Amino acid sequence: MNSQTSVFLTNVRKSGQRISKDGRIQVSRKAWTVRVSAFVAASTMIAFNVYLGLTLNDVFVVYSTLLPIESLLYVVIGWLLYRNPARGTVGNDLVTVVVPIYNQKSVIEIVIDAIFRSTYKNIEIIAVNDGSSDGTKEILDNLVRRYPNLRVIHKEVNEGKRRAVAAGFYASKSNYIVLIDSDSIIDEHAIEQVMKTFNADTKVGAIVGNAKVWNSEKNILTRCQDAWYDYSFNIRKATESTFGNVLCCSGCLAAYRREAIVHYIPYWVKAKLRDSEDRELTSYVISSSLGKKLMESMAQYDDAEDRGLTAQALTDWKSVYVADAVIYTDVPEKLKVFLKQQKRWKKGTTRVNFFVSAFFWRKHPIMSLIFYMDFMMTFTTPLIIVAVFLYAPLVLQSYLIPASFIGGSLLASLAHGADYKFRDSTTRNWFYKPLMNLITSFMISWLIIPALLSYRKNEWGTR
Amino acid sequence: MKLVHLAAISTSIVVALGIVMVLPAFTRTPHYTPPLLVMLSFSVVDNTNVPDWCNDLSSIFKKYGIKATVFFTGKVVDEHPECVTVFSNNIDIGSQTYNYVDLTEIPDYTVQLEEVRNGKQAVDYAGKLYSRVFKAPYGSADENIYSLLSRSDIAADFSYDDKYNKYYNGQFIRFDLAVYEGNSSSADFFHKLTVSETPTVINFDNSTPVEQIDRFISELKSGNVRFVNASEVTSIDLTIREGE
Repeated sequence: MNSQTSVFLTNVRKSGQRISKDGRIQVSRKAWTVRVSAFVAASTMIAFNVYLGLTLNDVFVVYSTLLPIESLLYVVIGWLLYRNPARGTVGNDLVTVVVPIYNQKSVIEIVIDAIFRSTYKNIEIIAVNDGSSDGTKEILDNLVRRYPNLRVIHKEVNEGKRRAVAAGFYASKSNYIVLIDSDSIIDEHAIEQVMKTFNADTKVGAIVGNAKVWNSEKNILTRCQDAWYDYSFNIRKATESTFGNVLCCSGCLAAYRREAIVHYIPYWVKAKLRDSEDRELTSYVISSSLGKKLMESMAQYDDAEDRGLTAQALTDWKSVYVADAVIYTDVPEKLKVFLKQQKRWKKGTTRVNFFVSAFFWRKHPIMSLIFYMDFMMTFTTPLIIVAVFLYAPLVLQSYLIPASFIGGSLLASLAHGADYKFRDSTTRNWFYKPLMNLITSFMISWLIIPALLSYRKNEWGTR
Repeated sequence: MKLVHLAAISTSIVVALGIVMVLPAFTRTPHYTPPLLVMLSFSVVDNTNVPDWCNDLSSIFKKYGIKATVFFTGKVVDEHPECVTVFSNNIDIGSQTYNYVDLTEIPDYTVQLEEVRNGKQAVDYAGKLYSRVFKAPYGSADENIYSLLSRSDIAADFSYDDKYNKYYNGQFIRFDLAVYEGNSSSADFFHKLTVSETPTVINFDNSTPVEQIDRFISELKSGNVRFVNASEVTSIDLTIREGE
């Protein structure tokens, strides 16, 4: 390992999150007091809202309760039922780590170094250079001399992340494929946790790790994303994992059992549009045989690589979240870049969900409810924002509705943020969650419009 | 059916369901409850507390920025003309005979007419105004009242506890009114009244301490109430002040 990597790994703020013996994410008793209080308060509010909606015979009031109900479901299931699935033996099967790379000369050495620092030693690393033009090629060639287990595939032309991943997949020899984004630094124990999970349950076809933001202290935007990532992984994915249905094994650290995706890769690689590849793959894994056919239809679109892979895995397999398989990833530091990334994600998510919606009702009822509510809100949130913040004050002369929306959102996000602090006492960004919620409501939700308008435009990237 | 059509159908159901549930938010109309129209009516019937009572009452009106109607007896304003002038423009000034006598107890029509006319003239003179609103002492009047009022150039009569009369096209026309005594009803009682187009009159006289009136108005104002004067109730300018 070179000195640059040592300095980097020393400076990264490590996750303070711990897993208890029974597989729960550890929190103190004080945290449980706050959680129970928050649950009682939220349940009371929801019950009152439902009562109000029924007595007023107002569908919108009832609909407005779906948002907090979904939020509450996520939180409660995540708190009570999630168990870290890395409970098997480590074993010594060969694991292939595929790293698709495009113009990453500043960090690629650190990324590769970090993989070789893994406590799990039986690994082959396949770095796929997708036609980089910034000197990444030369760095990779130097690394090959340092690491005999590193294989580098140089592609002359940039063809996109899917084809880069597929090239790595076809070159791999193992039954376990770990995908890592080229801007993400894997924790030394992560692959070990991944293998413990695969060995604990032979039905697990896809795994997502716990992504922490390593540039979180950079500015307000990265701090907000840090709090958001924690919620996305330790609440949302934890809940989805409880049902074996994580909807998106994020590209920063996803692992697949070869047989879960081997038949899908040929379809997946043909995609013309590229967003959310990881979600697509995940969806395939958990889908039924009918779903698999659908996913194969979807594969022609190249904008959902991670979701697509997950969707593929979801067909006959479980997809789970491993809270102690940590990876440190960087997030956009500028708003423009962040919004571009979010637009790409929104487009991919919408496309994958379009196909997944055809079969997801067969899944666990609670998971189905969560999925369809989420999908519905992708389209209706902008309408709700207009109803609450324009129609209510300007037409109805009601300021109570927007005030209660903001108040409710801030309180809920403050509870989420506090929960982050309880899980990881070293965090300094937990109180940015309310701000992130506002960004989600007023900016990200609107990206559905440009996402749909740019439906056929190709966009590559991990951000 | 192609499998992709199945995906299109399920997505359409999800989107349609979402829109159906959100659309009612845009079909709501402003929920407006009209306020209760309240005319506060004050009678200065004798010399008790005058003129301090008038002065304090005027201050309360200004403090709350409300409209009201104050009826004076001619004899009182002859002795205390400042009682009339102390009230600002949005307060209607009315008369209620010269000596505050029960008109029905006076057998002679001419004497009745004098009582009404003299009362109005005294008020007009004291306040340098032209007052056209009347209220019979003790709420007591007979069939002569319309003749007495028209001959005294009075256009509105608030003598009764279920109506007011308004002079229109050569005759007095009756309109419904709900009348309550301020001393025997709480502000909360009025908050609970069903709002209708019929104005509500709340009567006080100068035997009621101004502190009590202040409290009453303060509590009443916290509800959905709009304070009006006799001119607004009748849509006639019943108090024309000098210079207007």
